[in-house]
This record gives sequence, C-alpha cells and structure tokens, in this order.
Amino acid sequence: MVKHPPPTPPAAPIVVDALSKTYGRGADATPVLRDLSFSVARGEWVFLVGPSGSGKTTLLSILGCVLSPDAGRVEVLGRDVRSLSPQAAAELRLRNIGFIFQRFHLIRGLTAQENVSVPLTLQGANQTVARRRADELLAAVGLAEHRHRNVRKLSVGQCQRVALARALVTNPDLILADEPTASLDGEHGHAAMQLLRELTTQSGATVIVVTHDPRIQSFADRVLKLENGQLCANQSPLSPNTPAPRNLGTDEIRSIGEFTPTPPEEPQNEPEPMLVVE
Amino acid sequence: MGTLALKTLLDDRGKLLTALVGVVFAVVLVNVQGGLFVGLIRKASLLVDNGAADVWVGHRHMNNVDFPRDIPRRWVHRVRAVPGVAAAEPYIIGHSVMTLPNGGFEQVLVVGSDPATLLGNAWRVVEGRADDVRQTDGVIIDVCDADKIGHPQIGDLREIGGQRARVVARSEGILGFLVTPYIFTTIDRAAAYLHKPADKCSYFVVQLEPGADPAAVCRDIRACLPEVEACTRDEYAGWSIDYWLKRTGLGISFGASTLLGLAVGLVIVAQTLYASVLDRLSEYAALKAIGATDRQIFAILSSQAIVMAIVGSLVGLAIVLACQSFVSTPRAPIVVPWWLSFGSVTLVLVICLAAAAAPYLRIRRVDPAMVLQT
Repeated sequence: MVKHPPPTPPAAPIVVDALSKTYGRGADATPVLRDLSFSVARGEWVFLVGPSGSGKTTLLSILGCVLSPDAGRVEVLGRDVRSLSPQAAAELRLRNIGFIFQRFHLIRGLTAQENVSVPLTLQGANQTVARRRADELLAAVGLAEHRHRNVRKLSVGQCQRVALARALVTNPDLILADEPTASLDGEHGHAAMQLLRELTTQSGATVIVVTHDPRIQSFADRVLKLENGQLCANQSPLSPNTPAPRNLGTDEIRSIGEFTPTPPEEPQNEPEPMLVVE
Repeated sequence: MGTLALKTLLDDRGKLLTALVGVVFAVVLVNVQGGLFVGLIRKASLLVDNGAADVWVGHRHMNNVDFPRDIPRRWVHRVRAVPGVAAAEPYIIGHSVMTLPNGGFEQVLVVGSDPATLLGNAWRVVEGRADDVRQTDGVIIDVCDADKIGHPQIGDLREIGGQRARVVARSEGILGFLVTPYIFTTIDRAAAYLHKPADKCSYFVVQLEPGADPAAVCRDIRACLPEVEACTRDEYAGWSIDYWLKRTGLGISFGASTLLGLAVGLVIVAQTLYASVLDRLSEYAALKAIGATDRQIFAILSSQAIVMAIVGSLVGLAIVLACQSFVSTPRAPIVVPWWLSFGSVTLVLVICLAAAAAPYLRIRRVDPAMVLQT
C-alpha cells in the first residue's frame, strides 16, 4: 500500500471559506450552498445535519472532491479543490479519503475480502498485500469468518461493516460518511459508529458524517446544521441532559451480524434538543 | 483488477451467456462460412494442388487449370533440358461429352496423364487401383459424381466423345469447381476422347530435382520457350482461384454474409456489455468516487470483453471442429485453415474490445457524485 501524504501536513484538514454552489443556470439556477465558512481540525468528528435539500450531500461531495465549488475556497488535506484536475482529485480520493456510502455500493459478485481490497487494488498494491490488509480490517469489524462470502449473501449490517472496512483499508486521513446508519436499526447504527470510532482513534483520521439519525449525533465532536444551503449552527452536540453514547465492547459489536428490526422502545420523556438554531 | 473484472462478469451469468452466444455465433459463422468458401474455392485448383507437379508449363495466356489452350507436345524435350528439371510429361485437360446408358449425356472434364509416370493421375482411389487406368479403354471416375453418369461400377462401359470408355477404378472426393465430373485416363486416350491432335497437349507437368529453385526453373523455361508460361504449383493454384474470384464475385458474396454475422455478434456483445454496465452503474460510480481512473475502468471492461472473446472463441472453434467432422462432405467441404481460425479469433477479439467502447463511454459520463445522491 502506497500512501501519498499531502505536500504539507495541514493543521486543519478541511478549510472552507465563503463556499457557494449553484445547480442549473439562468432562470433555473438553484443555489444549494451559500457563503459557507468553517474548518475542521485533524481527528475531529463533524456531523452535517439538516433537512432534506439543505445541501448536506452537496457539501460532502465537494469535500470529497467529486464536485467543484462555484465560488469560495475549499481546501481538503491542504489541496485547493477548485484547482484539482479530475485525475488529481481521483488520486487524492484514492489515497487519502475513505468513503462510506448510504447504500454501501459494494460490488456484487465479489467477496467481502475482495470488496475491501478494491481501493488497494486500484492503488496498484500487490494482491497478497491487499488481501492481507483486507483480512485485518474484516477481522477488526468482526467479519473474519465471512471474508470469503459473496456480499450478496451478507446481511445489511454485515454489508455496512464491509463498507466501513473498505473506507478504512487505505488508512485515509479523511473519512466521509453519507448516512452511514440509514439502513440500520438503532442498535446496529450505534454499533457501527462505535466501531468507526475505535478504528479511527489510532489513525487520527478526520471524520465527516452526513446524517439524519439523531441517535448517533452524540458521537460528533461538532455538529454543523445546514438550512437552505446556509450554516445555521456550528456547535458541540451534547447538551447537559443528553445521555453520553453507550460504548459497546468490541465483542459485543462483532456479535451483531444480522439485521433485526428495532424493538419498540418504551415511551420516554422527550429528549433535550441536540442543537439550538440561532 | 482482473479478479474484479472476472468475478463481476461471472456474477451476471445470464448476460454473460447472452454475450457468449453472440461471440460463438460470430466465430462459428466466420469459420463455417469461410471454411465453405475455402473448400469451394480450393476446388478451382484441385488438380494443381494434388497433381504432384512442382511446375506447370502451358500456353502463354493460361489462367485456369480447367481451361487450358493447346501447346505442341514436342516442346516437352526442351523443358526436360532445362537445368533443375527431373521429369516433364505432357498432360491433357479438356471438356467432352459422356453418353449415358439411358441415352442421356453429361459434360465431363477429361484428364489425361502420361501412362509411364501417371504424373497427374487420379488420387484417393477407393475401388480398383490408380494404375489400372493403363488397361485398355480404362478410365477412373469419382464416386461422388457417380449419380451424374448413371452410377457406373467397375467394368461398366460408357462412351466419351464417341469413344469407348471402361470404368477400371473409382476415386472419392475429386470434385472440381465446375459441376462437370473429372474422368481420368491416359494422355493418348484423352486426346481421342477430346478429338485433339496427337501432337498437342494442354500442359507439361514438371517435377524438379531436389534442391532446385522452382522460380529459377520457371524463369529458365520461359527463356527457352518464349511461347509458354511456366509457374510454380502455388502460383498456378492462385491464378486458378483468382480466375473464379474475379469473374464470379464469389468472395464478395461470402464476405458479405460473414461480415453480417460479425456485425450481429458485435451488436449482441456490445448490447450485453452495455446492459451489464447499466445494471452496475452505481457500482462503477462508486469505483470512480473511490478514485478509480477512466483507464482502470476501461481495463475492467476490456478484460471482460477479452474473456468473452476467448471463451466464446474456444466454444465456437469446438463447434466448428464438430461441423467439420460431421457436416463437411466432398461436395460441400468445410476447410478451415489455421489462418482462418486465427484471423477470426483476432477479429472477434477486436470486435469485443470495440464493443466495450460504448459502455466505457457511458461510464465516463457518470458523475461519481451520484453515489452520494442515492
């Protein structure tokens, strides 16, 4: 595995300054992001929240170098996104950014091990090395015994863990997760985030998560709330009354394999809102 | 990358099977059509290819072995005197009419060889012996043409050009490009059947001494006999084939149907690859989002196309071999030379790679951001 660090290690892996993005032209022009400015520190977990259409996914796409901003400056891992050629952007994504997609987008027909080793294969890594690294990560996410199974035969929860392992296999500096728990019930969603936390603690990767799921927001160091393309909140998610996330042990996480519907919860008191919109 | 390409290909078994049918169809069509064409066109040079002569000497404007023009027999001595010539014998080929027992008649192509050497006599004799042709009135007919001349058995009599002919042997598979049956006999008897003057013949068939250069011998023969043409066996076979190719447009006819088959194969493979890509568009978009380059995507698609081409070609060639074994007949031989198989597989490979272009262009247009939108 060849890892190419950015030319100068940035203090803030993500710097966004006066970012704007508009879809369409002329009368059909729809502003999606307006004058956003924020930065993310190394190792920080930042969640992007907000209603549908607020621009979260567009922002994530720009941070992932798959979209280019129309105006403003966006630096990802020390590289100006607007100045990146498509090849340079692909290279940056391949070597320094890990993606977790909402629907996983695992490659049907490949085993869990082969799916996880795809980014390393794309990097040109030796197959044996790539598979060994994939095995390590699959073991870490509790799928060692399923590494040779076709992903078609895995449960939703297991696919999520394969996607997680794939995002981490290149040991990226930045992880972008798009609704990573949308397909999971509460317990599995929590376990997946806990697992991601454990696996990224050592590497110190920065994690950006787009989510609608309030149950996992307690994992965030900071929450950015978007509305109509504008940043309307930028703060820590934990209010004094919000319970801290329940940390599952590694064995407990690995024991969770099959997707099971969330059992109906006992009626509880309305929790404190996690965010205060200014 | 190869594993990814292969396993995703195998994962879509239905589509793979459809694409393979397209490739197999193209390979079988090209080889069987081409084999039939080669088998047919090779009949035009049958006597040259099998006549055991290294050099053919004939009229200066000779262009087809079955349509010769007379040359004086006495020139054979001058040919024999050319350095490098081991043997040269006069040879007669000409059209005559065989009268049948029922009163009917059939055009025949009489072939007469020197009775001493029998150079250019019938081969593949399955009944009687080839040298039985030396017997009085002896002729050799081919069993495949027997129906045209009333199914004569050994010893049966016929009349050719008003002269008596007795079947002394039967060959199998000596069928010319024309529909007229070959009748092999000795040169003098052939001259009689053809009412040809005894001092005339159609060709001199020449065998060379070991190590002699055929081209040099031909050049020397032409120098010593300016009225004749001399060419090697391969040259004259080529001329005889060209004669029919240019005058009948046979190549265009066979070529057009073969190209049509290739086009159908191309469409099937392209459509299948395209459908497969559409089915996996989000996966390819995810690959692009992860960082796969267009070149890597093309490598995946072209690997799949190559696998389809190779597997389909192998299955196709197996079917062609079966066709050769079970369907090929002397009348409609399927002759598949190595260059035809090699050429068809190469062509199919190129076509499959070309078929990968359409899905590749489709993936190029895919925005990797789509995987973040869904």
